[in-house]
Amino acid sequence: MAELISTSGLTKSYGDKLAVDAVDLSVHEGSVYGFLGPNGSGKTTTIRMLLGLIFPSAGAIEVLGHSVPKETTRVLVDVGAVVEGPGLYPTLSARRYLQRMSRYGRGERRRAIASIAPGERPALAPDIDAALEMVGLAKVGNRRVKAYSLGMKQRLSLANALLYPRRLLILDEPTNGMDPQGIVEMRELILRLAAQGTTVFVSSHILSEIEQLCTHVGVIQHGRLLFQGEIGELRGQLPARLAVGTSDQVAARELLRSRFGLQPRTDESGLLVMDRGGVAIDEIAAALVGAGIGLYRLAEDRSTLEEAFVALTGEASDVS
Amino acid sequence: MSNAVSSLFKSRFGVRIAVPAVVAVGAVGTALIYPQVVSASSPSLASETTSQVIASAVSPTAKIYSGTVVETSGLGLPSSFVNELSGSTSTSGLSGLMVQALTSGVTTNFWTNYASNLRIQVPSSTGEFDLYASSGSVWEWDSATNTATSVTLPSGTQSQTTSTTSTPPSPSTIADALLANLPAGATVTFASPQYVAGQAAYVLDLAPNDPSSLIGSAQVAVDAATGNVLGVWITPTGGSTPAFSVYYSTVSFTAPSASVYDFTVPTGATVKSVTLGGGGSTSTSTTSPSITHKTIGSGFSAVEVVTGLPQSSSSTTSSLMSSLLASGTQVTTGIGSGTIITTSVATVFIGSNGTLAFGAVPQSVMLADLGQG
Amino acid sequence: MFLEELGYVVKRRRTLVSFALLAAIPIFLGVVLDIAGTPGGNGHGPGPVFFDRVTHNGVFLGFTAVLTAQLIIIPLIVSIAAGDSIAGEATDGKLRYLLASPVSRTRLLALKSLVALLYATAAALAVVLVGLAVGAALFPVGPVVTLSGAQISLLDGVGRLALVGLLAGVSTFSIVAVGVFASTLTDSTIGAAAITFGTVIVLSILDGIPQLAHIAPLFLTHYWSTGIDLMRSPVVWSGILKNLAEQAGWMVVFFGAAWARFTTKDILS
Repeated sequence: MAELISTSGLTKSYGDKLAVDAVDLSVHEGSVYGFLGPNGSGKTTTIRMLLGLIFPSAGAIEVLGHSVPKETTRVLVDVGAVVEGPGLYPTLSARRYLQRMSRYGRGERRRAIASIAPGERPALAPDIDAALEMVGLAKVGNRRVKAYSLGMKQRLSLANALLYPRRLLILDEPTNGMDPQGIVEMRELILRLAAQGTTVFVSSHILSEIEQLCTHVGVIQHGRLLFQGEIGELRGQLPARLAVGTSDQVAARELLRSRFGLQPRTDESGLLVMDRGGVAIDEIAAALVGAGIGLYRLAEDRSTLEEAFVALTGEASDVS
Repeated sequence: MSNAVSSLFKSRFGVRIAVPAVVAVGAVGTALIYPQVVSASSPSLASETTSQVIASAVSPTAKIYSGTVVETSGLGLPSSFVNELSGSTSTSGLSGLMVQALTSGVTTNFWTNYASNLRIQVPSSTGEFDLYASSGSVWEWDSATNTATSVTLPSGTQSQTTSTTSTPPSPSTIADALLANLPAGATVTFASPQYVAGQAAYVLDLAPNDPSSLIGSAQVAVDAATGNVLGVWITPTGGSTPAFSVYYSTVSFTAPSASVYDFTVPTGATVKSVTLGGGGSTSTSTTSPSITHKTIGSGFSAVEVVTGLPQSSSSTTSSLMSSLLASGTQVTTGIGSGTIITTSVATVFIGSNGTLAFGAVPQSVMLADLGQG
Repeated sequence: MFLEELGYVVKRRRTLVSFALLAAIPIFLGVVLDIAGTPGGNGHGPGPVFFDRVTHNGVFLGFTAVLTAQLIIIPLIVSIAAGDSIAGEATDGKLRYLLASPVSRTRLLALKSLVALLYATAAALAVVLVGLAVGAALFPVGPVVTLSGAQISLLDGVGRLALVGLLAGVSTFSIVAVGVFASTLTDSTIGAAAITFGTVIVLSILDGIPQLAHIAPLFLTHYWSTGIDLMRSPVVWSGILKNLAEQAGWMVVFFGAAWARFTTKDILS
């Protein structure tokens, strides 16, 4: 798979302060890449450098095979972006806003299309109706933006990123300010786009919001990239934990200790919690039931990704 | 600091700002320094003697048909009088221009055919004053008051009108007077040649060497090609900058289009008429029989004495006159009592009995001269 | 992109208010003259140039209005428009989306500058046009008398009026350049406009100080009054040409500085 975003030694300093410190990003085609980090960790600065809005102090950036910031405008023809909240004209309607944005980008898009073989050229004109439909604003598209809620504004910003079929979407905190329902819809939309083959680079400071979306994760803190890889790999860094609830916790603990050599301990809710190591769950279940102990709960810990995050960064993901 | 500068030049911004910065330096240079370099740069001219240049100035080989004459004046008039003048509401029209000419300077454009037509234009930021003279008719036009004034010359002088009115006042008028009155002890040397109104010119430096004159030196620029006097700069004794100058900033040696002389009284304008030499005129004719005139001394320290002048001509003049008188010193002389006023290059005595004396001399010399009278 | 920007600016409420203010000047002058008559009869009043001619010839209302507006109102409105050019997009984070639309920074700056220059020209011409219309409605119109006392045809007079208006617009091109540069320095429209208008006011004050006479020709305001040289017979071009050179110099320097700044600036808004 082609590398759509690749940075090497990407650094941005303001005076003596390093906002981004030698970051090597690698985002492959077809992936949904979650870019995680607390607020102020350098996420937004990195994303702005990818989009040519901020000039790096050192390092190199390639997006879609083009160098940034040198070929920024060419790159952005194929990139849809939502950057840190919406930037809208309060007095314009959503439809009029999308029209304005597409007219601004028209010249650059025409030039980019001209370099593509005539049979394979994408449409020059944007599909404003489809973009509004996709984000669920079709019915209010003629209303002035100043009457919109923050969630609606965020959706309109996303519609702007979806004016044309894109190879890459770069979304910086797209769920900011959205209600739970909106967050669910946004997630579904991103999954739908990913299924259609769009590569998505999405940042968030709330792990749980994008946990179910991502195939890949990058974790950044204090400007440093702490982890980058498949999401399972991040989970795999932590021992697999098992919680067991039985009718006789004392007997169960003794059995697990003697039969499998596990070290269960009792947590605050009375469950037996242990690192099951290489022992299969069905084996454990069969042994307990076989010994006549009533098994009413057997679960792998669901919060492992969050714990992995905490283990990496030393703080919870949702601190803002 | 040097570290900051060197890092600026390494930055993208540093490289890009260099373009407008260079242009800015270039523009400032072009606007401020270039004209000075040009005026300071000496044209190389064939060597001639001062008397040859003076002779060429007496009979120029080409006539200046149109141009711009710049007159500047830093005469050092009493400041109370200057304040009164500039504060005065009557500083429009001809009298306003005279005030301006005395206190700071005036720039005028002129066109002439040296036969029958003369036009003098004094533009200002809000209007202009014009003099249209052609054979038999002379009009003053003041845009500020929307007034056209027909000027009638005294009868009998009509035939002379053409020649007198079609010759514009120019630096040569003053230069001729200076050259004609050169005293015996005066020295004439060459200063470095200069460009004046774009023409390469010899610059004569006249030093009267007359201790009783206020004039320390006078420089006269003579066009090397045509012999026209292009400028006169008068520096007072002991001074370093000219107190009075008059020079061309542009000249043209080709006759202008006849349309510049056309004047028809516009509809809606106020029409007035004055007769020179008669009552109500701001000018005073020297041919009036009651006025007498004599010169005391000679050369640059000559004092002109005029007697028999009317006491005052208009109310505005007299208000200014009283302010002028208030700024001087009361003295009694051989020709009566009056007020004496000294500027950097001239002293004027205004007598209470209609006498007037003036000369480029200090007050002491003036008083000594008048005491004899 | 150009038509989009032009359409956007034309439809803005700020544009409407600004042009209403500009139109109010000739309307106000015209109505006052119509009701009160020329102050001091047919003499020179303390009013603006040509003020005393308006009631005799409505064409002069255009001259009076534009020469009056040229001093404060037009520079103010142009300062606001130019100060808004980049900073206005930077407020509310619109600029980053425009750039991501995508458009190159140089092209965006050129577009914004061009539209601001057109705006400045339109502002001056609007005063002339309204002045001419109001003048013709309230007062008689006829052949025009120049400052030199020469009479020119009505058509010639209106043509010169248009040129005076155009020149008043072009005289503010330096303000546009300064304003666009200021607009790249800050994200605040008001701040950029204040810097720009402040520059104009300070320079016009310094222009009147005799001790600074030797550098005064460099001030962008220095040759503003040369527009009336078009109303002399013959037309005196030297001051007008100096003004054009002055404006061109300021434009090259400040548009250049704006370009250097904007194309290397981190967009943080």
